Amino acid sequence: MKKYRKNRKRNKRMSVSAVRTLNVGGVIVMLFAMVIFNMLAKTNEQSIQKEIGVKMRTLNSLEEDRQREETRWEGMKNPGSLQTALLNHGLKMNTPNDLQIVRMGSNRMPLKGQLSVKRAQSSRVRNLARR
Amino acid sequence: MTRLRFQAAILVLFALYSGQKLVRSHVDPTVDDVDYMFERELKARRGSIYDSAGYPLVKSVPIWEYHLDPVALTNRVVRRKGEPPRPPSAIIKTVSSALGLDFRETLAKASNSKNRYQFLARSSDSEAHRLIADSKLVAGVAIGDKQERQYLHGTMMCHILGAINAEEEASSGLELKYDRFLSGVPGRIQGMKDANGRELYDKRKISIDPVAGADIHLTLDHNLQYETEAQLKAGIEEFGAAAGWAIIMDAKSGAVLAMASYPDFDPAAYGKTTDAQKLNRCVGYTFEPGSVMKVITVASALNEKFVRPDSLYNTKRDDPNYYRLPGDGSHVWEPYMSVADAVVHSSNIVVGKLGCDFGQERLYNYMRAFGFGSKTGIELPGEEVGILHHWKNWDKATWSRAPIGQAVTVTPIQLVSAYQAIANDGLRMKPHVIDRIVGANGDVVYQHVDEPVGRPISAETARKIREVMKPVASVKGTARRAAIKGYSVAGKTGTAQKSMGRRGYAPGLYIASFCGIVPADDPAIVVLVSLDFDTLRPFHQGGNSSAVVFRKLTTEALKYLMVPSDKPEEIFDEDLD
Repeated sequence: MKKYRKNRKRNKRMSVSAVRTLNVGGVIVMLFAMVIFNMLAKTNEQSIQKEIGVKMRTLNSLEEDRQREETRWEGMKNPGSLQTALLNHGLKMNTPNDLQIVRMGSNRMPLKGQLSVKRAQSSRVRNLARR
Repeated sequence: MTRLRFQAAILVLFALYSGQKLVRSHVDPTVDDVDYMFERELKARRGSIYDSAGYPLVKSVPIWEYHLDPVALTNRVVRRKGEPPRPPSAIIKTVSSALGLDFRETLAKASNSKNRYQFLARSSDSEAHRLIADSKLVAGVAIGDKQERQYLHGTMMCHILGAINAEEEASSGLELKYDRFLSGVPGRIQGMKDANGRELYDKRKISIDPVAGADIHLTLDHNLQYETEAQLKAGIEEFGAAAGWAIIMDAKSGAVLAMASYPDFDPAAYGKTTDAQKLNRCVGYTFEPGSVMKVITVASALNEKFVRPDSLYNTKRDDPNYYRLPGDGSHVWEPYMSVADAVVHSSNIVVGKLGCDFGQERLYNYMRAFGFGSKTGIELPGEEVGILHHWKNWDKATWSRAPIGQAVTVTPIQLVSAYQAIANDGLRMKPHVIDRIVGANGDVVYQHVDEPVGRPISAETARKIREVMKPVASVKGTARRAAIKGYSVAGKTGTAQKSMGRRGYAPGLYIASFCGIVPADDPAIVVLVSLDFDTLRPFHQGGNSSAVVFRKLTTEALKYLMVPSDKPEEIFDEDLD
């Protein structure tokens, strides 16, 4: 009986150590897999990082190009530049006077008392009289 | 058993080390790599300034700054595959043609190897940058990124916009006064870089984006400003004046639509600007206004019902009841002249007498109510107050001189503001040049609300005085050249002698002014034009110099602002003929 108990104790100890060895192996494999995964993720992250860097630089450069171009264009549109450009083509720009302006009301009809309208009416009357 | 324990201990240690590494690399990536850390301030984009129509006047633009390193130019080999190395002269040719520089000058710089950092140019040309940045084409040129303040209209509006100096500090104008709005808040980056100095984006520890400066929207119109400056410069040249200023103000709101001061300066070359050029005469220059002040005296007396426009005054100068009355030159008047005619003919004697009779205290109080002797509060830096002594300190000569615009000094903006009160039925509005300030996120930080600052005269008096002023710009008055076809003008000339302080007046030196309200019956704008003569010129009077500039400028302004004609028959009849 005593011998049997001793053997059972030994057998139990042996089986426990086998289980422990199995667990440790699993952990090692898991850790190895984690390290490999981490390395792969890192490599992938670095390539994405580079891509982000390139795209950010491109975006910045395009934005700056847009600002420069917009400013250059606005500089060309100022009254002084426009007048010079027109003069180069033998043209001169003037603001229209009251005879050349027809102000329209909200009802899409010319406002009353305007010089341009009066002149148009007067010339129509004269033309009719001539006929 | 022992072996197993040993293996387990190793495994635990390995796991702890790996775990700690992983955790540390994610929580604090910089602990082990202090040498690779960097911190950089990100400059905020400076806000822009726009005119009333939203047209940009000033902008900050990214540019490149190029410097030449002669040593790197000679030492570095530049070549394309299969081609021989490029000699330094070829590189210099590429650089000089791309940047528009003189080839010989650039070559001379390249031969001076003692100075390894020689400034070449600043440029915003992207094509030139691509060419110079190509390492197979160019070497020895250092490229730096910068923000440049670009004044899109050159010298135009320089006194209002102001300038940024070489150290990129705001130095004058709105740039200075509203620097706290325009400059924005800089950002910050803290992170890591690799061995080549490139940033590792995933290792950024701190990343605070800069907040761009707010944009300022003005009440001024760039087209009107261009016309104002062009007409003022032409007038100065035509009449031989040394300086001049012109202001166009909205008659109802007190908004400044155009403001020009000459001499002007180029904001892009602020370091080379003289003090005379920097001075915004419209707000920072005081002068004795002369006869343009007579309108204020007469308006005050009319408002108190002290006189009527047809009240008669004796035109005799040697009157024992008055002390040292100013003369009227060679003019020979009828024995009696009405108050209205005194304005039309600009009689010093009559208005001087009227001022004396009206009383110093009352006149002083009215002048204060019209805004003289205090700042108008316009948003521009360097505004002067002018001189208006308290009436108790007036000597006997001042009694008769102040009513005709002597013994007091004013700024042009004060004068226009006083006339604006007359144009706006007696209600004086605060002059302003800023309409709104808009933050980078689109929020309106400041919005101007029209602000009345006083009512020196009643609406009835304002209408009366405008009627009195109407004939000034006619054949009867002193400024027939100020008459505008199709519009009634209520204005007044002023030919002020330039004061030399206690030494009296400078002989032959005048400031000729014309200030007008158009159209007189339903005013839309108030326009002041002054020419400053530093030598005696044949057309130094307000009526034949400033009035001419006023007519040309106001004619264009009325057309541009599409102000309907109030005397259409003048244009209509002529056109039909």
